[in-house]
Amino acid sequence: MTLNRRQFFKLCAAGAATSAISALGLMSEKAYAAVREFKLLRAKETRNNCPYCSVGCGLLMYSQGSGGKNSEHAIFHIEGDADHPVNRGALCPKGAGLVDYVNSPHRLQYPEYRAPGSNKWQRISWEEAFKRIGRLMKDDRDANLIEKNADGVTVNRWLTTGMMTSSGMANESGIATQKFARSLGLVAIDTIARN
Amino acid sequence: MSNASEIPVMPIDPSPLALKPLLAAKPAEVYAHRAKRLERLAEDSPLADYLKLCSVLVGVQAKLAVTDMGPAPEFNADQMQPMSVGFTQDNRYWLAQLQSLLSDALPLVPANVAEIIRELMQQAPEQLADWGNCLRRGKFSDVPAQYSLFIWAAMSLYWSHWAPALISRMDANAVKQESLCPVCGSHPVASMVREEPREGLRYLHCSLCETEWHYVRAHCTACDQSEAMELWSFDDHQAAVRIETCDDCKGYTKMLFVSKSPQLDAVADDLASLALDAQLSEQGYSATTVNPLLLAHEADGSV
Repeated sequence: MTLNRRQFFKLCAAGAATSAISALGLMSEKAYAAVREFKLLRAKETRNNCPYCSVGCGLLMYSQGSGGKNSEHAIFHIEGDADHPVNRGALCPKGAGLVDYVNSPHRLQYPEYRAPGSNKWQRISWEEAFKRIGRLMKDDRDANLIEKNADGVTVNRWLTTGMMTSSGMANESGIATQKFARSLGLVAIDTIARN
Repeated sequence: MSNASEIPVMPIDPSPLALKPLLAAKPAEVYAHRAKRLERLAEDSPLADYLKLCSVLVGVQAKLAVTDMGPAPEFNADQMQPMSVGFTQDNRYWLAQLQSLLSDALPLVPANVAEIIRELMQQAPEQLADWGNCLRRGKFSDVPAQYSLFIWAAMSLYWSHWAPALISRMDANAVKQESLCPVCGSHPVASMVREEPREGLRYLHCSLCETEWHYVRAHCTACDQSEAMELWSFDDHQAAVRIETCDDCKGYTKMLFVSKSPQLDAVADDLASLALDAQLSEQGYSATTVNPLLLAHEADGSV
């Protein structure tokens, strides 16, 4: 069963007896006049998880488009998801500030480089960034990899570099991250859940 | 290893924050609050005369809710929707409530409405029982529009009295996400976003027995999809009254945020915010809810 309240309004305006309001003679013409004074706002409602620690609290996020069918949506409000079995609607201070993280003007949007001794960041390309990271990792690993321990057993430990990973990953990305890091010999691996 | 179906998914949870799938109503309190709310809303509404009449009628419901309801209905608490019209269509005990309601309301209403009440009092019990079942089946067009308000109010009075007794015998954990009232099978009036047992949970409010049942937020309450949900409001994104639409089925439900405005009542505030309905209807959405004070005839496509 569907009730079409638009048709209900039209029928009432025409004086047709379709509801108690009009049938009892209590429909007012003023009911239609007041409607236009308000601005109709629209927000997309999306369920997601907080990525900032491994607890994985549930979120409800609200966004609005800037106009146009395929326009990008901007998030303007985030709250804890009351239905979520983990956080039951509550958020920690970091989670409660999520919408400001998302919209922060200080968000890193491209790779930046600060030379040793310099106090200035300079923008570099992704190509340069990947090359530089790869070069430094390789040099450091070549210089410091411990291949065998005192007893001559192969250990392949790389202790001079550590890795900070995301905590909001699926099992599959977790496995891929683990394989990547351990195959290099990295021992110090941590997630941003700890900060 | 045991089968997946044997693993209990909902452990017994003694936490005060534990989700309650069903909230039983206290009818006398619900009606008293609603009558007061309608009176308040009538102060600055273009539908003032109608809201005042509804306030009088609901006030009578509040008064009668504490009186003797006559014989209890028979039901089997193990069935789905034990009080639904399919199981209870022969129950006519509510007709006594209708007569009390009409005679109590008679001296309180304007002359033209009193005339309609007198007509309704003279209808045969068979006719009234038939109209009652038509309304409960959603066939609003089969009942004269001037009578439906009173008939529904009397049925609501009777069924809301017995619903809490039934709920105490139902297995609440067996209640899943349901579009219709798990107790009486009626449509919801609106979504109430409550502060209890924890803030932000959505409960659908039954249009007949005043029971509330839990339904996950940001999911369509009519078709259970969650891909294209939107919240609409006037002027303020955080308004206490909003509408949730689903682009999959083009249906909508009113969202009443009790945490933002504690005096909200499902029926009264849904009725008082019809301006929002009118706007959403123009966008091509249809209500998936039923308001007992607005039992409009189904659209016949001729307009």
